[in-house]
Amino acid sequence: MSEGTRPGTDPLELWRRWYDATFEAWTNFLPGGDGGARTDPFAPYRQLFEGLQNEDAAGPEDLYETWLRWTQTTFRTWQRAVETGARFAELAAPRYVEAAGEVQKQMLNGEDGFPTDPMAFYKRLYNATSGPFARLADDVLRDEAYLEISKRSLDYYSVLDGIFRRTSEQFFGTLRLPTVSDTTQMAGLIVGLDDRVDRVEEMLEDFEERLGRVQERLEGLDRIEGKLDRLLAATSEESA
Amino acid sequence: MANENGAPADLWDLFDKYAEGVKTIVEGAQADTGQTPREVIWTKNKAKLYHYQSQAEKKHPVPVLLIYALVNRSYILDLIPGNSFVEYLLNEGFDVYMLDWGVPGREDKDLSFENYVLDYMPRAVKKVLRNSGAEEFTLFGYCMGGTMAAMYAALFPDKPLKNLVLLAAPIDFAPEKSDLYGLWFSDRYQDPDMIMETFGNVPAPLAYVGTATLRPVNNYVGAYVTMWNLLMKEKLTDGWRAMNKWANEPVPVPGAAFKQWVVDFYQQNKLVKGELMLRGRRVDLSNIECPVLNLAGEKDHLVFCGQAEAVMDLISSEDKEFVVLNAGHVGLVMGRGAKKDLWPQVSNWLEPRSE
Repeated sequence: MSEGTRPGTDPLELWRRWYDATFEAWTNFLPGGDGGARTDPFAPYRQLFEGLQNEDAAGPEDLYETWLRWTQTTFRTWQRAVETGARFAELAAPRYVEAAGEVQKQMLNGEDGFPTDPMAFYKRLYNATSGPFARLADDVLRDEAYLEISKRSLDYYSVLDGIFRRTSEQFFGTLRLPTVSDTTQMAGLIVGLDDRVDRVEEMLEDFEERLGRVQERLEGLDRIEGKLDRLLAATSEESA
Repeated sequence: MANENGAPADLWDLFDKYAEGVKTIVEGAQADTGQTPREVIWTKNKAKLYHYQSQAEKKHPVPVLLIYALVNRSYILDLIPGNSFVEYLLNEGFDVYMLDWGVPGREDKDLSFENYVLDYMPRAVKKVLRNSGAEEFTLFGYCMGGTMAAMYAALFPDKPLKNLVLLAAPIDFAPEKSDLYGLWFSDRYQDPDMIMETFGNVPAPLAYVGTATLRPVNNYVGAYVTMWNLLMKEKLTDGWRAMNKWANEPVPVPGAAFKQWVVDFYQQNKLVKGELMLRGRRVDLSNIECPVLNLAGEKDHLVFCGQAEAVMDLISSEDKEFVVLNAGHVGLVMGRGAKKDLWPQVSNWLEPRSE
């Protein structure tokens, strides 16, 4: 397909937008990310390859320089990753010790001895370890480092998903195919119509109820009129 | 003893059980749930109002309207025959209705508690009364449905509302009472606007993860340990299948309702402070004067006793009772414990108040 007839978004442009979105996600993903000066870890590669294109081919010192610059650029990210990992190891260590103790107690020194039946083995292993690991999970789920990571994960996933959705809408829109927005709009119209019909039904039911109450009152009046007629008749007979 | 293929029968039995276990893990448990006969007497958008049918004699003229949460399916109240709260109430002579919220689509992302409490619920109540011929009804709310029931009762406290039953209904969302949810939904770690803008509704898998992660070992591992144990012993019980099916069948949550739930309830705790406004009307729980039965689970890790109990000091009812049962969030309403505790508690409390 030629450039002139290619439908939808330019894939290179799509890649560039994806790269921009994910770059920030990865560099600021870990706690302590300060969104500092933007650095491009691909820059050393780009310069290397551009250098290779030049008449002077890259020599070993250029490769070393490239590697050094890449490491310096990404060092901060690695450092934060190690710090975060250390934090979780700190939380996990006592729970592992606890689990090991439970395993020893239930698996090795249990009443029935070491379980030889596979199902009994795994069940007892689960019973021994589930408590400590559940407590570890609880510790992690409350930890500030985890909470920050999960918030950023959700935020960046939302951003990426949003980009994907908007791009898909645009792409299918140019192909004149129904998009999610189109079907949502259609569904919204149907829901709106359903709501109106329901309101009309409610009005009719209320009217029917009021009519029923009026009918009851009219019947009541009829009964009172009947009694008055009988009273008048009785009074007339007496006076006669 | 060998089977016709010459292999030990037990081995084939083991393969069959293994295959069944793997199939259950991959495809999810299959079960016929919500089997109590019912008819749909009203629909609005995705919501359906069910009237349950029963051969049992109707002893109590005051109908019961059940309301469940916006997350997960409402058939937890009518799980399987023999393990169904709806079935139990019918057998006790109650006239039972349920408002099932259905599964929202993207077009429903703007549905909030204003719509549910001020539009759907009053309409459903009218339909219940019209269908039953009664002049009053009992409102039964479970989980978030209980919160919605409390809001309805505060806004429409007079007749026809006769009784209010709240089951594991969170009212107080103070961080010290809400544990993990209070922490996760705090404004520091939760931005509901972003979720609403991106997804519209909270995607069902996200809603599932949010609940399952409260007890990850139990939900992601323990459930399947139980499955293999049951399978290897004999077979998977209908109860396990039905429960697993329900737990793994979350529904999306309308974005506006989710945002309101996070901001107005968890972050700002407006309901208990009397600051919650729905379409300009203040939700004042002190307006509730009808008899109230409030039940909570001691082992409930989703709605803590303190969250549910808070309503007792806010309502003006003279006839009110708070009961704590030895059960978890779901165990309150289904299972052996529920049959022994909650079901008869509710029935015995409702009976004299449903004449």
